[in-house]
Amino acid sequence: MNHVLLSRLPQFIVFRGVLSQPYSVAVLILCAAFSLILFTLTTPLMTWVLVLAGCAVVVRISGLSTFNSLPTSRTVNLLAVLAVFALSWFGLSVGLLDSMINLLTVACALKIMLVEKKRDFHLLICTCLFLIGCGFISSLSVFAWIGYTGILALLLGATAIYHGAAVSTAKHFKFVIVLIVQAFPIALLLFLLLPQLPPLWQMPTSKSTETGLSDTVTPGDIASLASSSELAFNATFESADAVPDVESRYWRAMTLEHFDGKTWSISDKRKQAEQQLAFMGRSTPLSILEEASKPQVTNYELIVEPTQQTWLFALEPSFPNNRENGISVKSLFDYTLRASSPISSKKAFYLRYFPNAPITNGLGNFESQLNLQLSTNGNPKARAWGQTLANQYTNPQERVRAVMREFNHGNFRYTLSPNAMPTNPIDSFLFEQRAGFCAHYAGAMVYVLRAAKVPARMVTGYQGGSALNDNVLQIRQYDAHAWVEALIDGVWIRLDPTSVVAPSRLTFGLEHALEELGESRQTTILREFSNSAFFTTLQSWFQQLDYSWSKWVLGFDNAAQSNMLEELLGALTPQKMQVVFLSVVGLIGLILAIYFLPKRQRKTLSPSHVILLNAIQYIETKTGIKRGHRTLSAYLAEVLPLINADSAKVFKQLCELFERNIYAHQAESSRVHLIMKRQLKTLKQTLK
Amino acid sequence: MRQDVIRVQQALSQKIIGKDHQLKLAITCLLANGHLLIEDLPGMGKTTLSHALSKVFGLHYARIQFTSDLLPSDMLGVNIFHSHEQNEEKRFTFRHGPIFSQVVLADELNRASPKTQSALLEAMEERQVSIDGVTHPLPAPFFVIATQNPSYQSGTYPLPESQLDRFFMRISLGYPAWEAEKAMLMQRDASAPLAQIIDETNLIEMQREVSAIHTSDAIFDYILRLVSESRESNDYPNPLSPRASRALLQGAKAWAYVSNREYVTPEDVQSVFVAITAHRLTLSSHQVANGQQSQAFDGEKLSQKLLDSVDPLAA
Repeated sequence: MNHVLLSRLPQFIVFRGVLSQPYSVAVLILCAAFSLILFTLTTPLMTWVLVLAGCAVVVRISGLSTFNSLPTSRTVNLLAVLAVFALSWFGLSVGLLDSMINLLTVACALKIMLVEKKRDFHLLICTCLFLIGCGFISSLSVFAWIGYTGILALLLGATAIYHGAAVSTAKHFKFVIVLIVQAFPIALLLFLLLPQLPPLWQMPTSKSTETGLSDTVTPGDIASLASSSELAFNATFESADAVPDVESRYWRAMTLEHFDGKTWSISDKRKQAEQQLAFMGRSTPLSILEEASKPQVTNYELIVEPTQQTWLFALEPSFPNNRENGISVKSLFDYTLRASSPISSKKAFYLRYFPNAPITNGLGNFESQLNLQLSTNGNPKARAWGQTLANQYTNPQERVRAVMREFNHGNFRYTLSPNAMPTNPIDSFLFEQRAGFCAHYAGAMVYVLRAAKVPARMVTGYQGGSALNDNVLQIRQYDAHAWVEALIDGVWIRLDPTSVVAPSRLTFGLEHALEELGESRQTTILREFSNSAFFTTLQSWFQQLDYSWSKWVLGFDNAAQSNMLEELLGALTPQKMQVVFLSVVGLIGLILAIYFLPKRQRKTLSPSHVILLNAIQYIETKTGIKRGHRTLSAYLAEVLPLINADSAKVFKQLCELFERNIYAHQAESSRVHLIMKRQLKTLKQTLK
Repeated sequence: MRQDVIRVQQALSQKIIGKDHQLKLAITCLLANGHLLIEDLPGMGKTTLSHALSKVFGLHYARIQFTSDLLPSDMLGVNIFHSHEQNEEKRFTFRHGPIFSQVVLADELNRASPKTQSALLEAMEERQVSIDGVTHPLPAPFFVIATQNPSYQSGTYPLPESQLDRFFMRISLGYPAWEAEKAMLMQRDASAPLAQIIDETNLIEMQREVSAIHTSDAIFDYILRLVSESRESNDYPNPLSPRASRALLQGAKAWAYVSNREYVTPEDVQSVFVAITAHRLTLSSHQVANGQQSQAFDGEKLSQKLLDSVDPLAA
């Protein structure tokens, strides 16, 4: 019966044959885990590396069937040499860290075609574990964590199957899951109590794929941002009452004070001035305010997605609470905040918001001069309008109001897809197109105000934010915004021309404003899907999960750790810390000991055992041949010719005595022990 | 008595040349009062071995060739109605089957149907046969040598684990070495009958002496360590049963007796270990067919691995 079936279905045998061998199953699972890791590493990996790795996996899996053979080590070595050349060629452009990840992946892909020995398999498993570590460099979200835990389970399962116990695959995985669950409390303990080390390498900065705002604005940039619904940051307030109302949710990132006729950028002069002032130790106006400890302060926490940049987004005006911050944050004279190192991973920042404090002119005359500069030529109409306004109104406030009035009544339209304005962009925007988005309006307004002799600058950042919880705001990339600040009577006043053109942009968010304009980002079907109850609950559930993960796991940095320890133990002294660390390590050691001890438990050795094992140890050190699990006679046969005749004779007698004492008599006699002890001494002497 | 064993060994080794270890194992099996399973290709000397054993020990010998149509009654015997007798004499009498012998060679056991197989295996375990409500005791000593084809071919019914466990030992003779086969070919009178060396009562006396061999605590511990390792480790799909540990002890004692020693040493346990445990540790063929790993099919390797993983000198 059987053989009829088998002969009729050759492919069936191959399949069954493959899956019935633990080696094949292990390799198959390893390949699956490796492919999953490749999926998660698509960003750092170069396309050709991905293709190479994919091919390697396919070759490996097809090689499991007996009909196909695997490439020889010669072929693989040739491939390795070529890959190293290619890597060193492309490596220059992608940076050290990424090329190292690529190298590791290439090595893994090539090795996967050559798994023969146990050592190869272990090497691959370890390299895959390392690749998982590399994956965590770019993403620390809860989903990455869940995914990588799954892959880890696959890798461990593959190892368990490879080691060939003859039980079913499901049983192996059950074992691995039990192992992971057992390891979890240990990991938790280490995470909570051991100090977290800073990264040992420099993260690659300012990649082309960076997200978020950039430090220059050419109207057009922010339109592309608006299409991204990626999370920018979460802001958590102490209570629901502390959440600022919609009108004041302006998250300031940077001030753009330099305009070259096309592009707004951070002024070099300001950068220099800031450096000099910092060097001189001048405190910023806000730090003076902070020291004066004004009563109305709102504390809040930002959880910022990685931007690879140093700027932060803060309510205006905010001051960093550096006692809590992992990365120290500096408050600058233009009321923006800078972190001391680029935000390369999800990070929490603690800030203090002063709702009623004005944004003052921090640098006096220098600042007002800086913000009156205009490019010498171009945009003649806008310049002329500004001059008219300057002549028309003596009060700068009147001039501002006039510009806002013009935006309100001048038939301006809000759109995310304006026409290109290559020459004299401000003129063509103000007097021809009259359609644009926040950057167009802010840019035009600053230009006109400067022409009207009112110091003004463009501020970029985010505006708005949707509530995730009562006290949590979520700000996404499409909330990116640009607005205007004008210096009137020594105080910077926030002006938002977009608010008069498209008021719903501010109160209900971009999505709503665009829907009103009939210019939504999503097609109808997609919108209906995303509005369905199931999808929204699912989405909010995911957001909630990700938020909690960010807050409680990623937010648990050294500062939070020492806070927790202080709460538990009172003031922290180095001695106390040492005791804590030692006890954590000790506790883990104890857990491991409890786990492993039952296996090692032995009966107490009888005296003749002790003597014999000692004698064997002498012989082992003398000859270098370990007994292992061999019997006495087998071991004797091997070592006797290697030692001198005297000791051979004594050792042989000793073994005979032992054998008779242990196996031939009812009880061991102490007389024999004495003889054996004497013989052990002689053996030691004769061996020398 | 001990001298007799050595003479038996010598006599047998004239018939089966160059297989001293297997011969010693077979004698051990007989002395330990266990049944022997030989897995081998045809023509390797299975019949010669069993025939020589029965001759040397002076035992009554019968051979049953197992085929798929062999019925239990063909082996055990039947009740026959004597109809031609006079009225008073008309009655059933039991005609003994070939199993009522002291040495039974069950050839190609796995060719018979499960029903017949289990009839034999039941007889092996109980050492008696029940037919039509009457129990007939089998002769003592009772020694079954069964043979099995190693690679399973079509039309076979592989023995289930529970029945394999009834066999005390499984050995395989294998091809003889060059010199041994040459000596066999050069033998002038291969068919010369062997002389009887031991008689029935002597054998039973020897079996009693075997059970009286001294076994120390260290040996019990060693056997227990071996069997518990097979139960604790994940590497053995069919761990060793208490029946196996008893067989190990009995086998080690018999080996010590054959080796002319008064007490059991770890070497004795090791010498019989593979023969006693290999067939108990393997997966049965249907487990293999159900997708279990075929690596576990090689019982000798598993058995050797188990032996190597336990230190005989550890206390």
